Amino acid sequence: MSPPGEITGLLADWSRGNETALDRLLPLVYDELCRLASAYMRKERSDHTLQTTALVHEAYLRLVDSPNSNYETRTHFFAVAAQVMRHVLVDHARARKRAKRGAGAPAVTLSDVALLSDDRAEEVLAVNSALEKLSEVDQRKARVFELRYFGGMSVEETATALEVSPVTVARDWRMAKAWLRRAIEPDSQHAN
Amino acid sequence: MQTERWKKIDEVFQSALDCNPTARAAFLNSSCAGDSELRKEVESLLASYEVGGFTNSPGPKEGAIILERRTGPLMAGRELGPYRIVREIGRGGMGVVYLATRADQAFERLVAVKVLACGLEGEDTVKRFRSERQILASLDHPNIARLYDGGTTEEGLPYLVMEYIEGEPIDQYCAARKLNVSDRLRLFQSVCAAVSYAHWNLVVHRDIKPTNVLVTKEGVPRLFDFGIAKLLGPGGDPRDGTMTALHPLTPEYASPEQIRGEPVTTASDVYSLGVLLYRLLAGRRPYRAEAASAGALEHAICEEEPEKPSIAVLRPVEAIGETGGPREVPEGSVDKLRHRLAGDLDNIVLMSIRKESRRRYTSADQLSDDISRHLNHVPVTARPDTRSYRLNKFIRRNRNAVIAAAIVFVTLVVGLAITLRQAHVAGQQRDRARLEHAKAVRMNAFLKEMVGYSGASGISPTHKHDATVEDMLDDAAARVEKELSDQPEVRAEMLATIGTTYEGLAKYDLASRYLGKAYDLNVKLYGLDALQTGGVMWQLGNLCYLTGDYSGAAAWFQKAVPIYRKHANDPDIEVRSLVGMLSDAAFVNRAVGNLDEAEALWREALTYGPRLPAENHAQAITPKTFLAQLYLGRGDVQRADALASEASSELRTWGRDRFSLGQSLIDLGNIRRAEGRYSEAQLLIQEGTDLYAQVQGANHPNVAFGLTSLAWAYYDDGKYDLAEEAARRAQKIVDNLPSGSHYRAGVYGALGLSLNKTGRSKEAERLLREALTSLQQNTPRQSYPIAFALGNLGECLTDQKRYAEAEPLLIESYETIKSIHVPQSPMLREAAQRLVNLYRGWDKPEKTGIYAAQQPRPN
Repeated sequence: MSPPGEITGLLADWSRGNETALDRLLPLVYDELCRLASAYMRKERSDHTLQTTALVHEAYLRLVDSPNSNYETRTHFFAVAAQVMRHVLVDHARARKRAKRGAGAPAVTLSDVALLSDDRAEEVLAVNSALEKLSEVDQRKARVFELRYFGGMSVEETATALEVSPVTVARDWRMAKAWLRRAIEPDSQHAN
Repeated sequence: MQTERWKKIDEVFQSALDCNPTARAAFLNSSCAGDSELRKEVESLLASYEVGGFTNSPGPKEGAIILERRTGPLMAGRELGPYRIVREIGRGGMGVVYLATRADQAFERLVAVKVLACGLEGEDTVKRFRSERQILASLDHPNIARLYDGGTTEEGLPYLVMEYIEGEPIDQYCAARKLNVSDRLRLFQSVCAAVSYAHWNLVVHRDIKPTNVLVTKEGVPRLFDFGIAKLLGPGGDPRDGTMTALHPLTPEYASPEQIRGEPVTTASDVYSLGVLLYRLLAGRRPYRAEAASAGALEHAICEEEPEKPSIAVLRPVEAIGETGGPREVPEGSVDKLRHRLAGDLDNIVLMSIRKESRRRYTSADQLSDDISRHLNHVPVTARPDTRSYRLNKFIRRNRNAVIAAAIVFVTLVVGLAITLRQAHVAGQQRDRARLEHAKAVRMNAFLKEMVGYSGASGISPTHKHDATVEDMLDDAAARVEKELSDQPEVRAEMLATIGTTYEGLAKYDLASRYLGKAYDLNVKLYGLDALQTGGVMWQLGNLCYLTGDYSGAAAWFQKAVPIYRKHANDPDIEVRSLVGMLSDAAFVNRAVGNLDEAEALWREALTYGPRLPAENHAQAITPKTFLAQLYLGRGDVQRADALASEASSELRTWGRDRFSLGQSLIDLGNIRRAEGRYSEAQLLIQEGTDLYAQVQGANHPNVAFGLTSLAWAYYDDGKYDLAEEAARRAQKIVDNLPSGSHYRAGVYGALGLSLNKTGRSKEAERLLREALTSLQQNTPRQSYPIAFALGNLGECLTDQKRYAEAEPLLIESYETIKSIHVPQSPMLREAAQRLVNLYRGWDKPEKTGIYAAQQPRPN
C-alpha cells in the first residue's frame, strides 16, 4: 500500500489541475478498492451486503485520512473513487459485450459475465458515452451524475463531495437524468 | 458552449418541474414567450424526464461485486515460480485457490495453488512458514493430498502448491450416492488413517471438515490443508489477534478447546473427526443451536451436551449444508437409520466429541479401531457418558479450578480403580482382600460425597478460584480426621493424597502438615521400609526441594531410594513411580552438588525404561536429557551433546510426547550454544519453543522460557536485534505473570543485556534491576538465579564503564556460584569472565589473576 502522504499529495496536485496526478491516482485507488472489496466478501460470505459507499469510505480512511488531510482532499478522493467505479463498470460492460460476441476476452470468466444483466451492460455503456457529452455542456451536472450513478452516493454525500447544497445536487440530478435519457434514446419522447 | 443559453434552459426546466402539472403549460407560455426554440428544448427534456430511468445505480452493488471478482481474474495468467495460474476454483476464509499448471515441464501438470489471505510479517514468520511447509511436504499418504511447493507472491502473500484433486466433499459424496451406514463408516476410516498418519508425524490438521475431505471418482477420500491453519500462526494459534483473516468461517467442526483459544492438539482433530462422523451418519450437526448465529454455536460446543445421533435424525434439516432429507437417508428410512445408530454408533460418535479432550479417544486410530469392532460385531470400547458425568459437570462449572480439581479427582479415581482391581486379584490373601475391599467401598462413598459437596455449594464462577478447591480440600481433610478414624489405611492414603494436592497448589505449610500425618500413620501401619511409607518420603523430599530445603530433601530421598530399590521387583510396583522417584532423587542430589550420585540415579532410572508401560515411554528417555544437562554443567559438552541428541531423536521417533520433545530440543540447543554452534542452537530452540507453544499454548510461561533460551542463542551469536525480538516476545508472556515469577527475571535478563548491547543502556539497567527485585521476592540471596541476575547487571554496568558499581555485584555473583557449583561449571566460568572483563576495562589488570585462571579447560 502506498503511504497516505503520497495519495494526499497526488490529490492536491490533481486539484491544482495536474491531470497526470489523476493517472497515477486511479490505479492506486483502484487497487485499494479491489483489496477492500475482496476482504469484504471474505467477511460477508453469502449475503452480498457489499456497498460501494462503504468501500470508498474505508478506502479513504486507509489511504488518505490523516491530521493533515482537509475537507478538500476528502472531496477529491471521493471524486476519484467514483471515477474508478465508473471505469470498472464500463470496462466490465465492454468485456461482457466482447464475450457475447465470441471475441474471447480471457480475463473475464463466465461467472463474471453474469454480474451485469444485458440491459444493464447496455445502459452502462450508453450512459458512459452520453456523460462525456454532458460534461462538455455542464461539467458539474456530469459530476453529480457520476458520483450518484457510478459512485452510488446519496444526495447529501454528493453535495458534500462537490461543496454545493443538496438542493443544487437534486436539481442537477434531475436535469442530468433528463438530458442523458434524451441523449441515449433521442426518440423516446416521440414514442409516448 | 452556450453557457447563458444552457443556464436559461436549466432554469426553465427546473421551475417547470417545480410547479403544479396543471399550471405547467401556462408557466411555459409565459417564460418561453417568443422563444419557441427554448420551449421545444425544455419540453423535450421534460418528456425525457417523465420517461425516468437511472434510479437504480449500478455502483453500490454490481460495481462492488465486479471489483471483488477482479481480485480473482487479476491473478489469471500470472506466474508464481514455475506455476501459471489458470483460473480461480474456490475461496474460503484462508484464501483463494487457483487451478494452475506447471509451466516449465514437458508435460502439463495441473496443480492447485492456494494463495493465503494474510501476509507474513517478520523474517521469523517467513522462516517458520518455510520450515513448517517442509514438514507438511514430507507427508506421504494415499489419503492425503500432496503439498509440492510454496512461496510468496510479489505482494508478500504466502502461497502453497498442492496436488489438484477432482472430487466432491465427503458429505455430498455420501448423500449423492446414498451410501449405507457401513460404507460411510469404511470411507470415514480412511480419513482416520490419514489423520493418524499425520499425527505420528507430529502434524495436527486443525481444520477437518467436509470441504477439506474430497472423495475422488474412484471413491478414495483425500484430505488436504493439513496444518495450514497453523502455518501462519506466530505461536501456532489461529486465534491470536494477528490472525483474524484465518478465523474459521464456521466453528461447527472446531473443538471446545479451539473455540476457547486453548492449545490445539491431536485430540482436537479427534473431535473434528467425531463431528464429521456425526454429519455423515445423522446428516445433522451435534447441537440444536440456532443455525444463524456463530456465537450460539460456539456456546453450544463449549457448554451443551450433544444430542445422540440416533435422536438427531428426527430433527428437521435446518442448518445450511445439513443433509438427510427423506431421499438422502442412508438406510432407506429414518426408523431403520435410528435403529442402526442407536447404541454402538451413538457411543462412538459421542465419545469422539466429548468436551474434555482427555476423555475422547486418545487417537484417530482408536476411533477407527472402535468402528472396526462395531463393523465386526465385537463389543466397542466407547461407553455412554454416565458415571463421571457429574464430575465433568463440576469441572466445567469451575473451569478456572480445573487443574487443581483434576489433581484431586484423578488421584482419587485412579487410586480407587487400583484398589478395586487389587481387591479382585488378591484372592489368596483373604484378609488383605477383605481389607482392600472395605477400603475401596469407603473411598467410593467418600468420593461421592465430595462431588456432591462441591455441586451443592453452588459456587459461582466469580469466586476466587482457589477458594473452591481449598474449601473442598479443607473439608476433605477435616472429614478424613473425623470419619475415617476407624479406617486407618484409607485415612493414610487420603492424607497423602491431600498433602500432595496441597503441594501441587503450592500450599506448602498445609502440604507439610498432611504429608507429615500420612507419614506417621504409614510408619505405624506398615513399618519404615514399606513402599507406602517410601511413597510419602518421596513426597516429603519433593516438598523440601520445592521450599528450598535441599539438605532436608536429600535426607528424605536417602531413605526413600533404598525402599524403592528393595521393592523394585515387586509384581505390583508402579514402574512409573519408581522411575519418577529416582529421577527426583537425582535432581535433589544435583542441587546439593552430589553430581556423581545424581548421575548414578539417572542411569539407574534408565535401566527400568523397558519395564515402563507404553504410555509412559517418555520417562524411559527423559533421564537422558537430565544426564545431558548434568554433563553440560560439568563442562563435558561432548557427552552432553551425544545424550541430548539421542534423547531428542528417540522422542521424535516415538512422537507421542511433544512436550518432552520440545524440552529435549531446547536442552540440545543450549548445549550447542555452549559449543558455539549458534545457528544450530537457534533452530533447535526455535523448534522446541514451537512445540511448547503447541502443547501448552502460545502464552504459557514455558514458551517464554524457550524464547529466553533463543534470545541467548542469538545474543551469544552477536545477533542482538534478533535476541531482542525473541526476548520481547517472551516479555509479552511474562508481563502477565505475578511479579515474583522466576520466568520474568530470566526474560528481563536476556532482554536487558540485548538492549544494553544496542545502546539502550538506561532501559537495560531498569530491566535488569527489576529482574533482581522480582527474584528476591521468592529466592534466597545465595542461589544461582540471583547470582546470575547480579552478574547480568554487573555486565551492563561494566559496559557503561560504571566499574565501581559493577565490581561488588560481580564479586557476589562469582562467590555465590563458586559456593554452589562444581569448579568446572560453565556458569562459574562465565562469572569469572565477567570479572576479567571488568578489570580489563577498568585498567586494573593486576586484579584479573585468580579469575583469569578460570578460563575454559578442555575436558
